[in-house]
Amino acid sequence: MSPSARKLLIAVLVCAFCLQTWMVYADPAGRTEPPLSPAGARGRALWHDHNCQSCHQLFGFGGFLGPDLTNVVERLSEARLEHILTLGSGQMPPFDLDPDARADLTCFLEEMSARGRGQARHAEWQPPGELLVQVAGDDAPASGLALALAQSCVACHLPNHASDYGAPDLTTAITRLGPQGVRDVLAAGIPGTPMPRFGFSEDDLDALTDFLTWLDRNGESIRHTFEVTRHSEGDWSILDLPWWEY
Amino acid sequence: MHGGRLDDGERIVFTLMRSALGCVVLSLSLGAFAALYYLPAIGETMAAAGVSLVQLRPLHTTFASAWIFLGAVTVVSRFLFASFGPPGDGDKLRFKAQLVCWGLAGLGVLVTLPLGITSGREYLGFHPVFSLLIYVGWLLFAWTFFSKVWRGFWQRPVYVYMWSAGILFFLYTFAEGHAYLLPGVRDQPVVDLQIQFKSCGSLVASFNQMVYGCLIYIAERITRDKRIAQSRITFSLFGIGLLNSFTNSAHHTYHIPQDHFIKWVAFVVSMLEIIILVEVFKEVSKLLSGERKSSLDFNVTARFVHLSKCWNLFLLTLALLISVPPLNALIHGTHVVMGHAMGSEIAIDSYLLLAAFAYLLAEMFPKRETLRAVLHSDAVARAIGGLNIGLVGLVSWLLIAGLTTGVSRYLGQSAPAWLDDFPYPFAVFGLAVGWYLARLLWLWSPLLLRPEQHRQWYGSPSTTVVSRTADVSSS
Repeated sequence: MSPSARKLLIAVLVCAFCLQTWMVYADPAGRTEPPLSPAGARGRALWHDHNCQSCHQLFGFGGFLGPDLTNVVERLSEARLEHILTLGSGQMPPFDLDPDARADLTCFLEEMSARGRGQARHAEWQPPGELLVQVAGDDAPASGLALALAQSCVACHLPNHASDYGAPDLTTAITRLGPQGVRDVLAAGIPGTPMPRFGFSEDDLDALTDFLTWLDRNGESIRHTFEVTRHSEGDWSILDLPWWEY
Repeated sequence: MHGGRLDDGERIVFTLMRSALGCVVLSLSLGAFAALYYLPAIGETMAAAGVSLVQLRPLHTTFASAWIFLGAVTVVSRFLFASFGPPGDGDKLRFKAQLVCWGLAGLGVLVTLPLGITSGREYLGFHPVFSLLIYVGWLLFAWTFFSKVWRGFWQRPVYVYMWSAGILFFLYTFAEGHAYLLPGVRDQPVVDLQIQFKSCGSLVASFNQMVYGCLIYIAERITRDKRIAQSRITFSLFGIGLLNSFTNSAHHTYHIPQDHFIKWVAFVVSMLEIIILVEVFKEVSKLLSGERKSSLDFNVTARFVHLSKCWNLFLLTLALLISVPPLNALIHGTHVVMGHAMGSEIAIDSYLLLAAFAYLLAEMFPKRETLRAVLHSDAVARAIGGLNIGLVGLVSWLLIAGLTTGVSRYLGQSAPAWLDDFPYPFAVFGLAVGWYLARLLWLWSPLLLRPEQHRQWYGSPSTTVVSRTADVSSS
């Protein structure tokens, strides 16, 4: 290639680089949301200080050991989030965060969640918690259901199947472990697995055992409803997938 | 040949080569621990003992990146001394200062990350003070490089352009990776992510430019055909590759709020890689039809380059697929991305650098018996075979697991039960890759650790070296 052609090639490449850099820096789309609040900024600092990105992702950026946390505040209740941040879960070590720090980190995750979606979802996907409320109707023991939702049990335990975390189907828990076995697990967790120790009171344990007994009794229809929903979600094609933002 | 002694240029090249391979050993050891952390029972024990992925992962990625950069710098330095003569006093001083800066940075990272002192950033997980040392080292290297090549720059072969682009691109993107220190970026997480994806993507592209330059340099020296590095096609491919490097990071940002024009540009430019794919396909076809055979029965350089070309064909196809937005939506943030990154870093960058190292060692230890006994021995051939099989297993498993997870995740379903066992194949294949790479380095270690003795052996054999070589070839 002649020197003049090389000079032209380099000039084109330099212009392309400057143009692309300018487009990224001048793009207003990233600034449509207000800057992080003071609490969110403190939470962001905690996120980096504890190197959360080693195992977790935000918008798909980071490590692969733990789940993407972009929209975790929609998936987990505040109580469950606080619980994980305090005691850890499975391979996640416990972080000795005081209540203010936990609140700041939660605030950061809430503000991240407001900025977009981290993972693509099928249009008909319904969060398992919502589906459980719908399936349970008015028949389920209310206090047990409320506790199960507050602790985000369905974030890990899904009917019909072991979940991503290897957590078993809750609709068969009483049959498999018996009421006392279930109480023991709820009270102490299962060491060596992601199932944590929740520190439930005796009343909470009673309420949850009642709810799980109800789930077990109605297991067949609940599993059927979840299965039907999954089948309707299963009808998809590559053309349904989003091109840009989810 | 200068008796047993290495000249100044060779000494610098050896120091860089040893440092680069030292980074491989560190990265492998830390990666092995990180792979074990994926096994739930072992991971929890490690976490209880205070060893966490939070420390292991940034250490592993830092030293893996350092290996690629140092490896490329080794080959570039060899080029400088082979083409422009032995280093002058100024060159030697700059190399010393450069190595001190990088050595201090490496040591500092190794000490501070386990103590929990971190920036918490992807790829640049260490404290910014070490970034400064790394940057100063690079400025010194850039000074040495450009002071030698700038005269007659427009007539230079394409690999000089690739290295120039790699060095300048590194200096820019490494600085850009620290934009988070600015308040306007720090407090706008989406802007921070856009810049982070851009700088990390381009940082990877900068080391690709360095490594591909090394490949063409070695190819030119092996074939003694200077036309390869001056041809219009090679320069055009360099242009397409570099243009792609500027924009392709945007295929990681399809899902974040960003002007769609930037995404369209990234998509269209990514598709230009089809041109490179066609060229690679032609090369691999020639290779498989046996048109290009090595003159030696077994030659490490040829083996690594051939394997790398096959991987390049596969990984380029995968990169093209990942750049198609709907497919990107399905697999983004899954192990497919990890499989692609690991495959590229090991099967393309590391294979090509090992090929280049093998060539440089063969140049410096030209006696055929030494090459047969140490560099190109049967044990080395077996280690390369094992390494490649381990890598095929690792990448395949990551792709299968990632794609399955992506589909389940999209449908809001739990992943299939067989994926519960994901960590075990991951750890087994990962450890196999680490083991065979370590074995390869062990087999080469007589040349790397005692080069002067081997140079003496060339003239007058030393008993210790002969027995060590015999050990190696019998194992």
